[in-house]
Amino acid sequence: MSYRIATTFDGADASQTGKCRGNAGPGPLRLRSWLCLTRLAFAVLFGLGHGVSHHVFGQARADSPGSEEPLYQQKPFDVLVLKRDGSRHKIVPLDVPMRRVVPQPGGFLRFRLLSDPAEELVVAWNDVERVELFEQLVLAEARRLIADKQFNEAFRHLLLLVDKYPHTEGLNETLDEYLFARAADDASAKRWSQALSHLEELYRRNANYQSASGTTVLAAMSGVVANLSSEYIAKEDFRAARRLLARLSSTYGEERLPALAQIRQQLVRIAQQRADRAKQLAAENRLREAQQEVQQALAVWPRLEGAFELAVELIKRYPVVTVGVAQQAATADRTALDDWAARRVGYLVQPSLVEFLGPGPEGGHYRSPFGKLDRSDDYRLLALQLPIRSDSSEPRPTAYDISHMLVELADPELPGYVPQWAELLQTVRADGMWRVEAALRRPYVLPEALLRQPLAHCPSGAAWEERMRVFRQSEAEGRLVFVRQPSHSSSRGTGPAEIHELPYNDTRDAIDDLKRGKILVLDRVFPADAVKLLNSSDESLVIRPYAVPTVHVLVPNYDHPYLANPTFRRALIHAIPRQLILERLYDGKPVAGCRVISAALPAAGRPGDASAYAYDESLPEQPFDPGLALLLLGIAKQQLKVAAEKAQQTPPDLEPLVLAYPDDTVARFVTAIIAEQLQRLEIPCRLQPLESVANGSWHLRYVALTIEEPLADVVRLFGGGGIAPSPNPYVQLALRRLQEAGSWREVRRRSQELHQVTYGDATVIPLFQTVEFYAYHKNVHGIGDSVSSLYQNIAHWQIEPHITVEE
Amino acid sequence: MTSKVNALGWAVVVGMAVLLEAPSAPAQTSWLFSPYEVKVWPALDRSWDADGAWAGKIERTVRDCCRMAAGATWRLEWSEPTPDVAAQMLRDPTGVSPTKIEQLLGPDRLATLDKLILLAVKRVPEGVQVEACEWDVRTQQFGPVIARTCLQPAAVPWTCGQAVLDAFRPLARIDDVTGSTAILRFRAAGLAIEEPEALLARPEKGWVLSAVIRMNDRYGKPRPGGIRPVEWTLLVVRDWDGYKCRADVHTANRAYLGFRASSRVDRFALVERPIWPETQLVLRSRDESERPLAGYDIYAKDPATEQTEYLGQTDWRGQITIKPHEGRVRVLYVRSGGMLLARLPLLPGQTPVAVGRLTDDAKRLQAEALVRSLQAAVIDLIAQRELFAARIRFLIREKNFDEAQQVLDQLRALPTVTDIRQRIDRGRQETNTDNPKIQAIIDKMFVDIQQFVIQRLDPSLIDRLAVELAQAQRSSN
Repeated sequence: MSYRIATTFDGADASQTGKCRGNAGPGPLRLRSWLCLTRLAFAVLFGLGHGVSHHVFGQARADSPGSEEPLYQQKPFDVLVLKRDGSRHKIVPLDVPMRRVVPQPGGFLRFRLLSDPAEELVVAWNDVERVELFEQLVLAEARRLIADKQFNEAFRHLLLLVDKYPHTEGLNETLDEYLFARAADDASAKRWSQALSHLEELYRRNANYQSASGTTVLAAMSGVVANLSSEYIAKEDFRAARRLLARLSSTYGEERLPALAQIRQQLVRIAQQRADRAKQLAAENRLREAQQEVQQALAVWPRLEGAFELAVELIKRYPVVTVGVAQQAATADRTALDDWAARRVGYLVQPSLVEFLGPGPEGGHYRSPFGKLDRSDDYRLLALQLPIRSDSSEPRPTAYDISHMLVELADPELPGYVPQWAELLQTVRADGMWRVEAALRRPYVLPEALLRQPLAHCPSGAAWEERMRVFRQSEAEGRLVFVRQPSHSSSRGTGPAEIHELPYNDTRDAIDDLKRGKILVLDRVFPADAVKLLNSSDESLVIRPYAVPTVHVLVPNYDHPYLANPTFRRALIHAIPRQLILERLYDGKPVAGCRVISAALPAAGRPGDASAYAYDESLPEQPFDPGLALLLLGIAKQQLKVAAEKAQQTPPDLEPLVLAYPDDTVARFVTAIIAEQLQRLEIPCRLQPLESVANGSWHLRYVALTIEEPLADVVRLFGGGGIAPSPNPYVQLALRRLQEAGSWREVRRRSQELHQVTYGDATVIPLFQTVEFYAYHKNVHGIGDSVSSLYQNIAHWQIEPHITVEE
Repeated sequence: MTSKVNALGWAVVVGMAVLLEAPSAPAQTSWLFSPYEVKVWPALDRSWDADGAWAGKIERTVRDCCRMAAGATWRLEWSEPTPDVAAQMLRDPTGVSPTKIEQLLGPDRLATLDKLILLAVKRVPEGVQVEACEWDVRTQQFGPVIARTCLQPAAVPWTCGQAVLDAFRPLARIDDVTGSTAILRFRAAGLAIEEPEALLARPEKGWVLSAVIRMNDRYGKPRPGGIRPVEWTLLVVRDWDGYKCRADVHTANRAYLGFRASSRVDRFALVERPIWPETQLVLRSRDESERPLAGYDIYAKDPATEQTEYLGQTDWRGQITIKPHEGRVRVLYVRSGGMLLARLPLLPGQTPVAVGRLTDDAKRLQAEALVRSLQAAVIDLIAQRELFAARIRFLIREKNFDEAQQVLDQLRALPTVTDIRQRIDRGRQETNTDNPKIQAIIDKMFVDIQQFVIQRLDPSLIDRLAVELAQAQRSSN
């Protein structure tokens, strides 16, 4: 082993160190040698020690403790304390078994300075006061920090010890102290959850721990639990209180935590009060409030005796259905083509003369709530046969009333005027009290499609509307509530007495609530979520497609000079990646029936789909081609320039297009992609919510259309006063020719002509067609497998009592 | 002897002059310088005037009103009609048949009478209703029924007087039409010396007149069916020089007034005033079906200011409402697609309904729609072909022959010139019409689009690109 002899130290001659005097004769060499050796060794050691002292001291000064970095962040070191002057020197941690320093009096301690770990040094144990191991230093520091209530720092120190020096003497006790002190600190700051967490940890570590003041961990825990549960109860977070109670009861038991019994009694008492109130309200026939009270009682204490049975009974007497909706309805209009929510609510509160049931092989299926509809074979007569006998003693409309309604719908002076019906209707005849016949001027294959009008739209109908209406709207905060009219009690007694529509911004939350039973029906499932639900194995939910697909388009504002140019509109079609958007909507897996379209008409969802009679499949969907879009944009600019020069005007600049969209998840999703894509092609475009856009100041409007009957609905789409009125005379001609079609063959041919005209004209920017889904809890029956609107069969809904309690 | 001969000679001369002048001088003289012969037939509802006490008051008041307003330009006669005519007048004055009128008046009186004014006074729930309606003898045309309601019985005579004056329509003779200017002479204009009379006989600038043609037999009586209002023709008084008045002619067809005035053909004009709040213009097809023409664009031009305004489209009934425009004539332009179909002058409010019969333009419009959509398809096709060609050439330069071949296949899959021409032919078949004029227009449209296709779509493009690609591939190998 080599060692270095210190070269600088006081009073010692270097020559005395490390080498013996050379004049020692051959005399008693051994003695002289021995003496020399001894003196040499002594000198060396002295010199070394002195020199080392100096050296180390000098070094130690540089490495003295008192560095600002916390210990746990420093490089580990031990501290060598010398007897001579009590100086402290940082050394590389000693490599001793079990990290136990055992002094060896008379022996030597080998060490390396932390500042110069390359050189090994030696010191006599006799000169060593003590060696402070790093972990002991850290532990001491941790204790200091605990006493100082710097718990986070203390924790870091303790963490280092637990990780690297788990066998440090005193570590466990310190940890226990830390936990208790921390819990005490949390408790004093009323951070009961944290306090409990620390106490539980302490209990796990040391169930018999007792603080310096004699408080056991269980006693402390009991106090904290009592306070924590009081906090929960004060906030009416009974679920949290119950969960706490359940967990602690199973872990510790009421014997060890006496506070648990008190908590339980308190919860039961509160629940009982509410249940009693519910019974009182039920006795007063205030069933909705009684339901709310008993639900609250169950929310407090689900196992309250008799509460569940009371809730079931109340639900049977007064079923309330909560429906999750993506968009809350601002108005009710069952005839709306472009307002899903208004249409949905319209089915509830707007009884109509004729209702659309669903698509069929030749147009839709229709029914009238008044009686049976019948059409003559030559399509020139529409008859309505009212039932001659009725079980109810309530007054009901007769053929004369219905006749008046039919005539009023053809009166241009009245607000409910239907021009197409006025054009068709020749005469109306009441054949006795219970049969109405409307003769038409010319054959029309589906006159009943023109009569899907709310009764309120004609004076004679308005008189019956109140009686026919099953639900009326009521006021409530944050949701739409519909209450069944007393005169329309459900025939089986389990139809909904109330319907609550709860809006959701995120349908994932809606699906979670549907699974939990917080809502029983979900009106419109976001497409990607629908795919997941369809593929999931959750049998508690039923998911079904709506009968009529949704057609998504952008409606152009023809006042904009560029949008008035058909070439520019066609450029936009090629500029939008419609297939990509569709795939993203469905998470890469569009369901059958979803497809890109080439016109604002429902397309076939499957081969041979007769309901898509208006769609010309021979016209190919315009492909996404940015290059072609730019080329067409250039052509459009040129056309506008030529026209402007002809009129001696300045050619218009392409100002940013305002793309307006409704407050709807799908709309936001789709229009964001469209705007971004147009920007990339240097077609400036900015998004704006529809409600913030002044009427007519948008340039493109995103619209999702529900076209139940193309024959009748295209006029409301493209005709004067329609959603996308077209100034193009060819479109108007095609519309007129379609209305004059007298057979299904002509209807198909002329509606496809309309498709061809709008295709070439790009009257609207067609996007794609989607299949919409609704979902409901398996406890709801009678909704129907493929309805055109959610509440289509509301009269047949049956609700099995279902109570969800979150334990 | 000499004096007798002289007297005889003068008598002959005067007699000849009288005879020679007889056809014209009395006509010219009587036309300008003799007053209107106006007869009033009153019909008073007996439930209102049971004792006939009001009849006299009404007559006196009407005479006074006419004297004040018309002065020397009118000679008024007052006589009661037969009970059956009176009954009809109380129901609807215009329901009195002209034959009955002629029968009652007799041929002699008919020859000298200018106007017959039917005056009906009857009780209505609101009070007393006065209705006056003019029947112009020469043109055998009823004027509009002027209806007034009185709450107070005492106001009835005065109201009758006003109604009679309002029902009166000054009459003019159209002496000549040259281009768009007509020369008129108003009846009794020569007597309208003082200002008050000018209200009725002296023309005013801006007066609007409708035209009637009367074809007579040798006896001066109208031939059966010889009296014909000239449809869609209005004259607007521009100025006058003495008794000669110049008017602008607004007509749907210049040939309508093309009849030359002769001894057997008279052209008259009657002053029209807007008395209805609006006029419904109704367009129907000229053929037997008389189909309402819906969806036609209507523009209105003010001939005075030359300003044009878009009014809207005809609805499913072929109707559109035309509102009065400061009492002036509006020339309505009827357009379908890009084509002007008719110019219809109209005085809005003159009549509640005006029916225009036009050729049904649906087939032509349908053809135009097809042609336009074909044009759009061809533009897109041209753009796509150019794009594909550029891409193919770029890929050839980059020696990416596989992708170039793919793009060439896409190009081949696009519609060809033959496909487009087949669409053109199909469209042609679907738009055949019996009307040769319309058919000629349609045929021209399809010929034009065919030429457009031939000029713009190069059928050899694909082959050339295929050759380029093959050559490039060979060179590369």
